Amino acid sequence: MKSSIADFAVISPRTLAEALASLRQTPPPVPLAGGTDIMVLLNAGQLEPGVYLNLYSVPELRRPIEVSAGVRDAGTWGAGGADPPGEVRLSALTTYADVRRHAEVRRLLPMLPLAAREIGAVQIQSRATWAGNIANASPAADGVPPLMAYDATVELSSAAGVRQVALSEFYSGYKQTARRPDELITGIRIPVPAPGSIDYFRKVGTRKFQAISKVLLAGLVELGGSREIRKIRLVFASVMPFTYRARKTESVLEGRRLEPGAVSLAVETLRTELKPIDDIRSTARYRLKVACNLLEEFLGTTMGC
Amino acid sequence: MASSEYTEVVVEGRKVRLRAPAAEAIPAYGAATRVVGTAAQRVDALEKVTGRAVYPSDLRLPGMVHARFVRSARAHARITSMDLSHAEKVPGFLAAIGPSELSEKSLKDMLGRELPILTEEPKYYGEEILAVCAETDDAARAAAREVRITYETLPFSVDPEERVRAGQFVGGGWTPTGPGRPAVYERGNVQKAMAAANRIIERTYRTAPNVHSSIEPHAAVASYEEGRWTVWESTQGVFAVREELAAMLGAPLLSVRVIGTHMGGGFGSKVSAGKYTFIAAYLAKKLGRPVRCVQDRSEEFVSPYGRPPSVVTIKAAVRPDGKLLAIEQKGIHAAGPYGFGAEWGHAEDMAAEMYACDNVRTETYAALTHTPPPCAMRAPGHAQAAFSLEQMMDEIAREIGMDPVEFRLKNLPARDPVSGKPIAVPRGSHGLAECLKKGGELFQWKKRRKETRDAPPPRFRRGVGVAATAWSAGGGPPASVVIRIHADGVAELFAGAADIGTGTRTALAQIASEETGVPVDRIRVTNADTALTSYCLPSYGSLTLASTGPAVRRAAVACRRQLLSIASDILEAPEKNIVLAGGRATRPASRKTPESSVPIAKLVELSASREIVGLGEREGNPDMSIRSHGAQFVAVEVDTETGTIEVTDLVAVNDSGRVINPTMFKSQQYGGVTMGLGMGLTEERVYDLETGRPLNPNLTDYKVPTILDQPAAFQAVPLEVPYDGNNLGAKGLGEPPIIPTAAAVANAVYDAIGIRLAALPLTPKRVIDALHPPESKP
Ligand SMILES: Cc1cc2nc3c(=O)[nH]c(=O)nc-3n(C[C@H](O)[C@H](O)[C@H](O)COP(=O)(O)OP(=O)(O)OC[C@H]3O[C@@H](n4cnc5c(N)ncnc54)[C@H](O)[C@@H]3O)c2cc1C
Repeated sequence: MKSSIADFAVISPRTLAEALASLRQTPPPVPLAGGTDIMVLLNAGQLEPGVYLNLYSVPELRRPIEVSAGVRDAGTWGAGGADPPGEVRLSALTTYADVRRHAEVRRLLPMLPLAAREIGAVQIQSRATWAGNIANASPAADGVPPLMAYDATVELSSAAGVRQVALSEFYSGYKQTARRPDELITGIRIPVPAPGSIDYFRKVGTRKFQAISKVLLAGLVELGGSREIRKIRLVFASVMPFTYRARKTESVLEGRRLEPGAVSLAVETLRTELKPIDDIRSTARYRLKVACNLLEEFLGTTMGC
Repeated sequence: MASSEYTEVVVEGRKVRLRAPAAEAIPAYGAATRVVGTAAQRVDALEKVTGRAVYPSDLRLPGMVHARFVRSARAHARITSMDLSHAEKVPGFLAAIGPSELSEKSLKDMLGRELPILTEEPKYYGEEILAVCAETDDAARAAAREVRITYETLPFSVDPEERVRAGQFVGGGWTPTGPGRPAVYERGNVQKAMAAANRIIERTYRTAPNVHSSIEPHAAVASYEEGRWTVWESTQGVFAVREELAAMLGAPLLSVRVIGTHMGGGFGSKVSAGKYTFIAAYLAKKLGRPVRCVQDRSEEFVSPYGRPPSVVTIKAAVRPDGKLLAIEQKGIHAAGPYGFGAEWGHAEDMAAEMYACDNVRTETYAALTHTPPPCAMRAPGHAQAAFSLEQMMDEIAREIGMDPVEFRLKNLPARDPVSGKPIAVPRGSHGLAECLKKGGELFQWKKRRKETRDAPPPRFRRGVGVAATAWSAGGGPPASVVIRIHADGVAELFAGAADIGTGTRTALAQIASEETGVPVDRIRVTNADTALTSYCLPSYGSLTLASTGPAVRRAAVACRRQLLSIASDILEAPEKNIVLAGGRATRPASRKTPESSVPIAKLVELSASREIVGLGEREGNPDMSIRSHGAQFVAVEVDTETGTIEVTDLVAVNDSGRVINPTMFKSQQYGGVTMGLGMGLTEERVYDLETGRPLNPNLTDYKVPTILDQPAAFQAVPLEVPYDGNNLGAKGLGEPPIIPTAAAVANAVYDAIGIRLAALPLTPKRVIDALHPPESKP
């Protein structure tokens, strides 16, 4: 049953410094962004009573999406020189709707709007944040896999300073993250992939939308001139106890030419690398089978490109 | 129209034949109607979209307090202690009621079986143990959480088959048997027929437990003043609630008034008073303040509602030319620990009624499981039974190499195979035959069937399927209606029927408008209020429109006669020359005189009574088997790599006689089919076998389909096969559209992948497991 509202307090700091200072109290207040995970817990009576930190009152956390200058001028690309180190930065309160509406992000990081449109419906998309999706650490989070496939880093700020943690290093177990209780996620930085990179995003759920995924794969591959795999990212949601980057399978593929033999080798590797979960949403067997099929589809369609 | 003239009743042990009241026949509608048959806008659309319509769970009365249940955290246990001391300290706490205070109080099902309101020995997870009441809803929840209960855990089982093996069952269906005996229906000689046949097919099919998932949860608000209760209840039947509540309270019938004008869906789960109703009324008297008792979404999954799961084994014998020779069926369904509501799992009717077959035997076992007692859910029994019967029809047709549509047409009964009564199909047509033919044409069944058969198997495999339904839906008495037309030309219509979201209020207004000429938007409908309207049955069994509609027409005809009589004097024309429409009585222009007209308001003003009143009662039905028919054709695309099934095309054809409002008719088809897709593809209440706890008591993991899951090509087609069994020519429609959907999808999946998925829901996991059986490498 729903929790009693009287057990909760919310503080609304005016500046980032104030917010970070408040996090030094014990116990530290719990950050509250869009509230789309937190309010569900409240309604189910599972939310810990205590003090909540309203992030909306902090202007620094509401900065619009930033695209670094090197990328904005698309004309400087490809003319022979190295790719410019373009980067997109989402702030703590960037929502899925913000990303769906952002033409440049749609072009540079196409998996983000694909993931965004699959998350909840319009009400949730307008309220829910990418940072909340990361911090909430659900193994079924849909926003995290594409970010991880894009090699995003998480900007963690505390009263002591700022540090950057690769998103692929952020999770260590079910709901275990690198964030210390005194830290806030203040931004997410995403390097723009090399031109010509091929991405893959597919969510398998029970119904078309508004469905927690059973298996999700976000993949990104960079091919060299002779179709050798320069770099590949394979990130699965809802398969392992946390968002999982299949590093073993990636390393089997990297440096190899993309051809049918590589595909079957990768699928065989993935089959032993994954130790899927079993829950009411599906079985380990189903997840393993479908995860392998998705990988095969990703590599297969990439070969056809 | 051959109305049955008598009903037999038993009075003090004596059989008495009651004569049906003589009623002047009202002719069927002519070819052209002005209002009936049009897509009139819902009379309460504006009220609803602007949020002004007050639903019982929205109601806030001055001084109102809140009640909440404390529920069992065990599937079966004896309570060893209850400590209320912490709950009593919650600020705002007012009262707690325990099982000992209500030991005599229980709900009763249709066959008189009882369900205690509160219990000291909970027999399913979530069973109600205590009710607490507090100043605010938050305080009531907090107090409920603070009650400390200790249990002695007892053995339990949530598996119906296991319970039947252990002898823990009663007979299902409408013929109650003692414990340990199944209900049996038999005609002909199945054994002999099977022995003689050379084509016999057998399979076991399973359906999952489903939950109604109405938008508005179960809810009641009760106030008690001067010896009388007023209860605002989210209900399908205010009169049923009044009767049951008065009996439970030990109070005179008229001391209870029940109001249920707006309600947010029921699908069969709100046909009687609930535990929450009683608790609200009981506490209202005890505390002298209005009490609200509303369930949370999570409680909807553990309280006594839901479609029980079923396990149905059918064995059928067929002649090579397609004649069905014998059907033998064994059906098991969960009936909860009390057998309360066991009638709602019955799957025997369909196998016995649907097709002409001389030899039929069904055995029905209602297993006493430690799960919430079941109740009616949209087409109770039939939706489950169709999943087995209509797949079996498909299997047989394939076995003998016949088109499944042809096979069904060949086995249609001319008479109701159970009652022997003729099926009400005047003018030589058969509703089901018409639906199958029309649907087949629109779907291009023959062509598409061949296409999928010839297609090579790529990753996405396509298939088509069909399934059919018949549902008794003639409606009938009792229903009486009053229409009052006032001197400003506004009419009031008083009907007892609940509008459960189907648009009843609008349809009734259209029928009244057709006769009286008062425009639909000048008709105020007052419904579902026991103090203002006359008795009728709950809105269930697809009977509302076919029951109350003809009474409305009769009341409207009574008004019409009075209006015409006055108009005829004023307009100096014979009554038959006057048209009542658009709020006026009009005499059309003739060769000699120009058109002349007078407002209906004026007629009322000039009438001797200064108000035109018409009373209408529902006449009896013809002594026939009255059925609504339907057929559904679907195309699916099965992704063999992820196991997902996409229903790409669906044609639903339904014959329910006269269509009063085509938009609302199609809404029932869209809604029923969508619910059927949920039953077929996604919906399942999952229990933990170790603890008996439901694992998905929420809409996150109990997945109902959304609008995006509807087929991209979805045709809902009303088919008006003429019917003259009542003065509207209309039969019921609410339930038929859900019945064949899951079976049609399963048949299409078979067509696509060549594997029979005989257990619901057809999840991606089941598809993958079927394509790659577990013993093989994943
Ligand atoms: C109806 C519905 C549908 C949904 N559908 C989906 C779906 O399809 N896919 C999906 O992935 N999710 C879904 N969700 C879950 C949820 O919307 C997402 O996880 C969302 O991204 C959470 O963001 P938020 O801003 O609302 O987080 P909040 O609820 O505010 O917070 C979530 C957690 O993150 C912490 N947190 C938030 N911001 C920060 C920060 N800046 N620094 C540190 N910690 C922080 C909070 O303390 C909390 O623990 C759905 C939720 C609902 C209610």
